[in-house]
Amino acid sequence: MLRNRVRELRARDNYSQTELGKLIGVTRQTIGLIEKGDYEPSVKLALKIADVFDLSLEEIFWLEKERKAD
Amino acid sequence: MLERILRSPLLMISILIYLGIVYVGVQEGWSKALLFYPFLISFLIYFAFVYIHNKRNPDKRIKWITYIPYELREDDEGLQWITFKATRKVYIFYSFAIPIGIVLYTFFHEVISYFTIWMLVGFGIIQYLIYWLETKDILKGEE
Repeated sequence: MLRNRVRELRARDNYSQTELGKLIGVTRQTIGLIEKGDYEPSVKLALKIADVFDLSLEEIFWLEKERKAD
Repeated sequence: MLERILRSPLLMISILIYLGIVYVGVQEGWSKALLFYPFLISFLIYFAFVYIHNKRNPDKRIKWITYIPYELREDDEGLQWITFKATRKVYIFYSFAIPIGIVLYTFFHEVISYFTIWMLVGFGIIQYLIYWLETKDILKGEE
């Protein structure tokens, strides 16, 4: 399962779901779905999210079993 | 709020029930005016809502005429995913409902008046309820 830190990073940078959605061109609902893990974003959308937070993809998204291996 | 009303599957459920009643009414010889005026008034209210919504939200306009049902949300990949999940469940429902409907028709069409039309209305209601239950939590609080 794909995990992510989008909620945490959004809180860090003080963005609302709507604001983050506008920055990457999606709706507030899609941000909510990604944060809850209900939807796994496309590579393109994940890269846009990474770009907003100025981090690499791996610092935001990871596979659950890989995390456990750490 | 207006967008939620216009995109609500409950609106389509109401239209289906109304059409079912119109069919029965025409067959039974009810007054045409009694059947027509509610349609005309609903039609005018609906398009007034679309007009007001589009005036207030020029960036989220609802098309006047489209072949894509209003309740389908395809604004971005997340909403397309939700629509995919909901329509998949509706497809599964119909793959069972159609053969079961044929069997029910075989046994009940002579027993229950207007069985066919009520069965179609029932299928439509279930279809919209499945879609609504799948999407309501995601779209909740939207505006």
